[in-house]
Amino acid sequence: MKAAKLWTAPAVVLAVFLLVMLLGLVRPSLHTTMFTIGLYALIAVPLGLIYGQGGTISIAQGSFAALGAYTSAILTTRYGVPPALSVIPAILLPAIVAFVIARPILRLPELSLALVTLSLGTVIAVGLQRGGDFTGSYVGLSGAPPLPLVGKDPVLVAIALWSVLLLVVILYSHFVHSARGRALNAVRVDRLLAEAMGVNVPLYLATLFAIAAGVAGLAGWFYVHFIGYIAPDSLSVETSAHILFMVVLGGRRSVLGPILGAAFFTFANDFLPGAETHGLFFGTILVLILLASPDGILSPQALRAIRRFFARTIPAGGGAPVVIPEAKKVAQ
Amino acid sequence: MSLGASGISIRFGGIVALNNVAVSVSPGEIVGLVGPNGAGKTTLFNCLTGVAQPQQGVVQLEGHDISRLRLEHRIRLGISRTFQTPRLDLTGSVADAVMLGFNPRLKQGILEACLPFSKARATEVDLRARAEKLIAEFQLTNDPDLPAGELSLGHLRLLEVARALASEPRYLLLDEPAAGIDDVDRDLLAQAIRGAAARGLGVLLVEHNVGFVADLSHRMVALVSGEVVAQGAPSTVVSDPQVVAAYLGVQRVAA
Amino acid sequence: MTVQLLEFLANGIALGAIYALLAVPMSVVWVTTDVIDVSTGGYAVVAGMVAAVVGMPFGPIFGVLAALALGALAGLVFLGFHRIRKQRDAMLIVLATFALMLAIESGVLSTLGTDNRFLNPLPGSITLSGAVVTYQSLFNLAVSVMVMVGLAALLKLSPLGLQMRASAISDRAAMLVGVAVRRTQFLTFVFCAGIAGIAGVLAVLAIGMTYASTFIFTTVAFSGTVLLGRAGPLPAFWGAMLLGIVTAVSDAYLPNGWAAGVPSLLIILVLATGRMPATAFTGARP
Repeated sequence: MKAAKLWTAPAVVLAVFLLVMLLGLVRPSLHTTMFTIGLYALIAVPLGLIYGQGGTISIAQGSFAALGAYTSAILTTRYGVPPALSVIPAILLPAIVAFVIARPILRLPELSLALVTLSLGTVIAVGLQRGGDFTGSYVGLSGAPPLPLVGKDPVLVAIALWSVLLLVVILYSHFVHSARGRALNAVRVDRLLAEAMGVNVPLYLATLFAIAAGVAGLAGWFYVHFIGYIAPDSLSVETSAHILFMVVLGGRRSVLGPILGAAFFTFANDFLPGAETHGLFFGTILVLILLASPDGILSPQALRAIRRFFARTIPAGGGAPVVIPEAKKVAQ
Repeated sequence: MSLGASGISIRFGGIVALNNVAVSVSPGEIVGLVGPNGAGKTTLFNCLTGVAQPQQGVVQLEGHDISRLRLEHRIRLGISRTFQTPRLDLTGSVADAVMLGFNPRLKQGILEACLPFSKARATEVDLRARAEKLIAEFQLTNDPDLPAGELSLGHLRLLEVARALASEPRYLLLDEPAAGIDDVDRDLLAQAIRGAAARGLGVLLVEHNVGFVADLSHRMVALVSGEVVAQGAPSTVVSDPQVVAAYLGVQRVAA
Repeated sequence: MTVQLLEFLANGIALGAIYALLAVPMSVVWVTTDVIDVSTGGYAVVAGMVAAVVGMPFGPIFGVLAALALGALAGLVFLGFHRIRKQRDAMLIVLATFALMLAIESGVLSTLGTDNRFLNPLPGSITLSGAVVTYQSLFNLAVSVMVMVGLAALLKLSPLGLQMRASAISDRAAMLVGVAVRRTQFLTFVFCAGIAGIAGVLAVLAIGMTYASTFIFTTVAFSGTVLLGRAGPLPAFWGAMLLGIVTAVSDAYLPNGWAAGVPSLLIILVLATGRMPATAFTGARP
């Protein structure tokens, strides 16, 4: 049973990925769609961790991705650094910025924190826009070299991206089911409780915040070297807001939630008529979800219901040793 | 060798919550802290644990001045506390709630927690087993996976005590653990406290139920309006006129 | 040199007059309901856009009416959350107002496109100590001050104001003494949206706007609110004025375009250093 808890989510991710990639043989545009979804998911899942598990909201993930993308773009186009090496600063720079800014702000209550991260994103965006020639100003930077090994092939790139995503999901699942994960949950429930359990809350949250920023930076690196260019609008404050939307809609308490949200967002974008109406659509959906199920689609209640369904229809035995907990659970 | 505070004075706005208060507890000792509502008992706890910062006074742990240390640091030094209203994740399981208590003694890196097949997995199994033992010892529930919110208040208080003991602290600070619990649970609680003291923990206990505390403690301290009005053997403190006056209307404790 | 400074100061005050009418309503809603109404910028933009489309003389009236209607929508969402989710968690409602802002912005974009809209401002200007001050700026300042006076009168003298203040201290306590808290809070959303609408009309006269101004106005409102807004509408007013002056002056002295980051930078500095007493020890969480 324990094994199932740890590996269910990664298994789902893998299964969905393979399924869609196979479908992509019939409809190649799906491969690029998978890239987009994977990219958003890579930025959103860490937000799911710090917000869903840690109760710490952040509207800066998009800007951290932009930092990573720009860092790599500048290093590769101006200084001739190969992308395989520029990935390291692309991850580290956002992480360091996040860590430094985190210490003073993470003690703020939720609303103030949201404001500060939003403002941080705006300041970064303004900085990138007005960075003159160094950042390419409004136009951005182009001519970024392709990704190492996988180059520009949409299928290979999608595989590489989703492999990274799969790794993140595996790490997330294991983290959540560990003592550290339990400590993070305590931070979300009651900070004083977490401190009474020996958790150095500011340091802990700052570290996770930095990790989330670093992963976003990695996503930025993927972006700029696959697409070939980066502009201030590509990964902006608006992106951060969209990422938050994905996490809230898909379900912030589950590792799969942000991925679901990313998929929903991407497909909705493709199928909705006219870019101008997207805000209306997403805004309405968001309000409805918040009213109906604040923890999103894959809320803890929904997940329990899914697990009960499968436990009833799939008999125990065959594979890992399983204790059927349902027999003990009184109907709720 | 003790945990203690001396000369503690703390003000909130215009209100003096504690005035020159001293209290200490030694390993193996059970000290009962009594006093009417608003006397400052929880505030004193907060000063001892670092939740509140007194304007004057010193908190020391076995000779070291810990007045400047944050709560979580003091916890990791071996102090454990419960709260007046139970603080826990009601949607999580009872086992998870107890397992959280092991955290102060754990040294698990984030990397170790993330990686499959790392030590963290074995740790989980071990912690789970230990939690189940504690749950059984405190007779909390037959199903460790029960959501904690389904426990009665009495059992929630016992759970908090179990959790506080999980980290094998040197000093245990219990804030009204017996409030609102029935006789059976109260006996369990008393048993657990005696057992802890017998194992060498120093226990500082805040309680309203004077009878319960007097029975249990080696020593008592009475706090009224932020000042210590009596301390010493339980029988002395309980019959002290100032203490009786403060508890006007409450039955005298049978010897 | 000082003439220039005076002009920047004048610009700053004119800007601050508009900012104040964005920050003050957001702060009033915040204090009364614990919710930060993210769609404040949206109300302003809708009012301004409607005013520009309808034109003078009725444009501003229709604009403010539109803002009031949207404020009522936000108020309904707020009530809905309290009714359906029995919500004590302000963050969810804030996210809902964020959703509303997305919808408003998208609505404006879909119907009116990306064009910059403006109304012809009041022509002419006067010269004070060598600094050129437009009549429009003076008008904006006058309107802003009048609105503040009206708001102060409402809060201090009217029954609604009393109920608002009671609700601000503690909604539960207010309910217990018979204050119609939810209705009061709903009305707060509505007329604060109206105030933001006035800001939008002034803005479309003075500087023009596009659909993208939604986010900018909201950020400005955040800034003003965060600076001193928890302490009340009057401090929020001064905070917004200060913000306007700082923005105008930095626009003049900072390299091109950096001034756009000033409100956000201010938010970070104020919150990160925790300096402002209004946000520090109110006990109630922002």
